[in-house]
Amino acid sequence: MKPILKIESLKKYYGKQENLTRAIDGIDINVMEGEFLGIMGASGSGKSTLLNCIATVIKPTSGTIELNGQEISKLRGAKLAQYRGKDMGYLFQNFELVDNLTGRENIMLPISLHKNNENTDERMQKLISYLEIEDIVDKFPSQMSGGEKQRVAAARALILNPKIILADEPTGALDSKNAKSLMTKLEGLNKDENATILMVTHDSNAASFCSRIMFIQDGKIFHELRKDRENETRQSFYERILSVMAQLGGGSANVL
Amino acid sequence: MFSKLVLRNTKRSQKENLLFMSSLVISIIAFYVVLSLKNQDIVRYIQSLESDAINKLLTMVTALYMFTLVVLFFLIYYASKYQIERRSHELGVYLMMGMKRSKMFFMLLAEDIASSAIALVIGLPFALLFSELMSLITVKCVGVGFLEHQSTFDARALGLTLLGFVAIKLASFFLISFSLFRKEVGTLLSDAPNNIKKRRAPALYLVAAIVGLTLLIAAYYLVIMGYSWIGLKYMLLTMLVGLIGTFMLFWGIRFFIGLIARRNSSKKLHAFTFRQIEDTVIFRSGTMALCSLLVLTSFVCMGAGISVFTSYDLYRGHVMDYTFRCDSPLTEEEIEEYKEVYGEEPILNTSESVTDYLKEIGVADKFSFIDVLRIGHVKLPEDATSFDVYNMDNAMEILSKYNGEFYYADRIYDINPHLISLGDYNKILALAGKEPLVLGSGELGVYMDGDVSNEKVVEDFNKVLAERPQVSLVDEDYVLVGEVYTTPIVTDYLMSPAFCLIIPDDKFDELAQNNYTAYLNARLDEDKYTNGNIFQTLTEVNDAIDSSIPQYLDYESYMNNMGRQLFYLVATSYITIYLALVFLVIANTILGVQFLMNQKKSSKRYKTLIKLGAGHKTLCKSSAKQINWYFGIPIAVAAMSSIFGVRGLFSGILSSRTKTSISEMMITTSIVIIAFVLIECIYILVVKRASFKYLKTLMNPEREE
Ligand SMILES: Nc1ncnc2c1ncn2[C@@H]1O[C@H](COP(=O)(O)OP(=O)(O)O)[C@@H](O)[C@H]1O
Ligand SMILES: [Mg+2]
Repeated sequence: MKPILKIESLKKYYGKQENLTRAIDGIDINVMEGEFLGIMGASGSGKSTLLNCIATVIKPTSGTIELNGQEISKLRGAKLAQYRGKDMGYLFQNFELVDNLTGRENIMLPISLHKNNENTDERMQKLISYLEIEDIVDKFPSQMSGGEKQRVAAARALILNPKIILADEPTGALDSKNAKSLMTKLEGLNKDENATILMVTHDSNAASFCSRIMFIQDGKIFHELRKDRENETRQSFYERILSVMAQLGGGSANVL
Repeated sequence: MFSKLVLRNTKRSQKENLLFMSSLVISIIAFYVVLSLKNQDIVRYIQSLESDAINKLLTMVTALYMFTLVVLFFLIYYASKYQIERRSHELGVYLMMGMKRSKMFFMLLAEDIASSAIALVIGLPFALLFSELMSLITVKCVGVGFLEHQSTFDARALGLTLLGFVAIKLASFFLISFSLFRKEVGTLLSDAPNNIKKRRAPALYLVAAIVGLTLLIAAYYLVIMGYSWIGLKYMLLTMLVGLIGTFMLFWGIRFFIGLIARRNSSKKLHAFTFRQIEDTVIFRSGTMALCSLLVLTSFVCMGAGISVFTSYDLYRGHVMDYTFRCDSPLTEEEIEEYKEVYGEEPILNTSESVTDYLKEIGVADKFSFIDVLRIGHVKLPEDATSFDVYNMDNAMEILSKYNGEFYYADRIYDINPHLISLGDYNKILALAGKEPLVLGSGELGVYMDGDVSNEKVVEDFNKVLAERPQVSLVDEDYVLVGEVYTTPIVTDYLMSPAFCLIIPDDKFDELAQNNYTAYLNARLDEDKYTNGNIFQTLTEVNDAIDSSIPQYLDYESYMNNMGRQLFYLVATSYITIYLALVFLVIANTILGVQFLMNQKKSSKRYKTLIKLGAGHKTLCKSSAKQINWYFGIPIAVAAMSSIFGVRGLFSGILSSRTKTSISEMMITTSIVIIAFVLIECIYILVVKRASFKYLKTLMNPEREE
């Protein structure tokens, strides 16, 4: 397996000398193709900053991010737009559906923005039926439940078949039942479609669907867990995550 | 610190909102132009011709000022509201940081005063310049360019402009801050999105649109067929039908926008763009309809104003330039009587003496025509008891067939009617370049003054004459023949009798004897106009006569007539064009502000698009398209209606004055339309600029918790 996303000594500092915030302070991650990577950490640990750097929403202070060997900080113009819209799919905590567009029109947005000549009808149909949103896809977001909204958002993130899907706390605004169903779908996509997913969360339950988890604290990688896909149940992985989170919460970095 | 904040905010808002600033500046110009109207050269000139004009003008100015005050208040209110609303988040933050509401109030007030001051600094010079230019241009257009130009500057007008501007500015400020301060901090901090409106069955919208369109067409039909001009009732009906039609059409128009939005298109952000347009159509259908109607009113006013101005004929019915009223000749006995009372011979202004006098002061050679016209009555014997010299009952009976009400009977039916002699009148007809009237024995002609208000009477009476009605005059029977003659018998048609019988010369001498007034009519020689300008010549001749006026010489010059016509012309065109511009500015400002406010309210949607990788360019394209539609729909509907409105106006009220030049007016109307398109383009550009700027601010990523 080759890494699809390579992050090397990434740093992002906010503010000036006196009150400098080291949101990310030297992070190296390799995301493999077809991997379902989780990033966990307490609030303020720098998870969103990391994701935003990858999404080119913000510029890192130093370090490199490479997608398929292409350094993304060097992307400009059409290439950058292509990266943002086509190479990468983004799943937001608050869904970010446009409220005056129907579900279908929302899903079509990336196509509409990044003019794609490929035949997308088939993919659209496939995603809609896989995510079980046939009945609500022609409704407006205000007529959908939170879970339905996030599944529509997932379809939108996936419509252009991105190389990597970034998800920032996708279950954050969902109740546990909807969260579980969404995670099952994402896990399924990861397995069946070999979709690469990078998910930020602080919900251990959601994280237990991942195949690997990086824990960050104060902008640094603090620990890593890998799920034994063949032999380990989700339940036991979940318990392992909980124990790491307990140490994280305690703030002692030297337990493991 | 506080003042720095105020200064910085003012500077920023001034830069950010061109629309707001320009509406302030336009208000100032509008005020000053109205108030300094009486200093315009043309108005000064009219005043010198018609002293009565000044009172009418003052009423007009006051009314316009009041109207402007009310209308511009709404304009400023709207613009300021947007100005404040777009800053609601910032204001919420100030409050959260512990700024006292009173302090914030004073901060906003100070900003308001600062921006007003800037608007005044920019606006006043513009207003002065504009007023000055207007004065120069109108004088040229009317053809009185020889007038000495005087500055239109007027301190009182300036003062009132300031007063009016500050008044509406403060009023709107207090109104806005009142509603602002009642809001919770939380509401200020969040951009409250539009609450989702209930969507009804699409068929309902379709039906509404169709019914609205049908009503509009019905209104057009009423206008074009001329039904609207029959009476006030029909007029109101037309307006009501048109009004309801417009509002229904705009309410239902979302159906079509929805259709377009659902259509598959490979255009970038097609669905989003049209959903946005649909949104504004849904939430603002009333405002859009209103703006459309304002634009329509503006179109019609402008069309009417410019047509009146360009096609109004100051020389309409112009035959004579001067009429000198001569004294009635006296009989021997009357001269004796006079001598007994005053002890001297009476001095009479006879036609000969007046002619001599004109020669004496050196103006006679400026005339190409000088001649006498006598207007008399049947001379009754001293001891007459009965005044029944004339009977026209037969004619009046016929007239009543054409006009159920006898409302003008007393204007034309006189038991001892005015008489003019055929010979005198034929000379005037010849001067006017018309065929002479020939009367057979037992025939009489009819003269009526050609006053516009009288046109219907003339028309009806022509039908009566076609039936050759019998009349009797001093025990002899005659028939009235020919058409009604309206070529004026004296200079000023207001001075002429409404109805005269034209009788053969010998009959005139026999019946009237010396019971007549002689009018010495004169016409200026066109080849001897000073600088080829009739106004200037009239002024000079008037001055010459006035400077050495002999005893009791009473005269009318065409100047008075002209003054009245000029007043009518200037007043109508000023008012209509002014209203047209004010309505246009208001409609555009409302549309622009509303669009920008809506855009701000949908900032979340734009932010989502940005997160999905939409670039500034893409967003601007979408926004530009939205603006084109948002302005385009109401303007298109207004333009469609105005074609019928202006056309109807021409064939309706204007027809009597300018029937011949409908095609000419259509040309001027096209020029007006081009000017409108230009103004609209400027507005659309300004709104686009503001919108693009706002979108730019959204592009910067924000920290979200
Ligand atoms: N725009 C910013 N300006 C200043 N500090 C920031 C900004 N964004 C994030 N930070 C700081 O960086 C750190 C990491 O934030 P974030 O990545 O949002 O954490 P997480 O998503 O893990 O809760 C926090 O201490 C936060 O205060
Ligand atoms: Mg976060």
